[in-house]
Amino acid sequence: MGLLSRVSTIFKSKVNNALDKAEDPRETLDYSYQKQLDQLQTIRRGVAEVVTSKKRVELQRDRLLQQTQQWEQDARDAVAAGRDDLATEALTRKQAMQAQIDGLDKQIDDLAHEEAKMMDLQTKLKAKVEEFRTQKEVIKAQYSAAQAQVRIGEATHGLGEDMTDLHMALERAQDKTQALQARASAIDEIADSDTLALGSGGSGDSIRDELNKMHSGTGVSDELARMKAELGKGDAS
Amino acid sequence: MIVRIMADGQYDLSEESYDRLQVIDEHLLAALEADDGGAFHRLFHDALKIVRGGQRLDEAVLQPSDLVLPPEDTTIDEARRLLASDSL
Repeated sequence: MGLLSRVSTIFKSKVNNALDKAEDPRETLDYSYQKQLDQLQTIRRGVAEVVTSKKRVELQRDRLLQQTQQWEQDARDAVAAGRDDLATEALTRKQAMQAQIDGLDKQIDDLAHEEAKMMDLQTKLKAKVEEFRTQKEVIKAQYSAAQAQVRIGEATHGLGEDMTDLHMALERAQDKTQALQARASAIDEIADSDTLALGSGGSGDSIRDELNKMHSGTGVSDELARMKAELGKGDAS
Repeated sequence: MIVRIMADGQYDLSEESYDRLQVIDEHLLAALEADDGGAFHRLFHDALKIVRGGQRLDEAVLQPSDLVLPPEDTTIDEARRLLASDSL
């Protein structure tokens, strides 16, 4: 048994768990239809939650963006006041924060992609539930119990697969939003402690400070030079 | 044969394509067991290509699938977790 066969077996057992078997085929049809409508509601709520979570992360990202602008302004003020040391410090923080924002941006993009896919699946699922409603009336009217059993089995399984598919897509997107939110919160904490530590001139972890400086040192000195040139404070050397 | 790609849709495949898929499937499991991400990625891509070479089923069709593929951007780690979710 290969990998995909195993995935299929797991998927199908999920579908079977989601379906309910009644003795009378006509009961199965009506019951399944009702259950599908309920599930469609659950899915709609789930998708809405993912969208909300993503928006919250976007807001956090925007907040970080504002803070980088503040650092930039602080650096400018420091240069104007002839305090290159302070300007360097501010720019170092700005760049570290920018790296975090870039990471978040990428993940938000990724999530937007998932969201679009889910919306698409949701629309398709709605159409299928509607199709099921039509089919169930036809099956009920035209077929004997024995024949109906087969067709009911196929139709309910077919739709059950779509339900399970969308449910799993939703779980995946929810996992991703959770991870993203945890990350955004962690960054927020760093941003907050950064603001607090401004007066003391460091994060409280001197090794970390030194490493950050080392990593972004080149970028910072370039930016500082650019800033000084703009403000007409370029070094003569 | 009806094959589903999760988060995508269903496709109708010829017996011949389905057989090719089965061969890749065995290699996919071997790649997973060897933790060979590169081979996994390549084989999975091939499998998706074969499935998408089939006739796409209309959205309104309500038919069970013979085989189910995980979403197209599934990583080797996600595939492993999927298999581990056997109990669900």
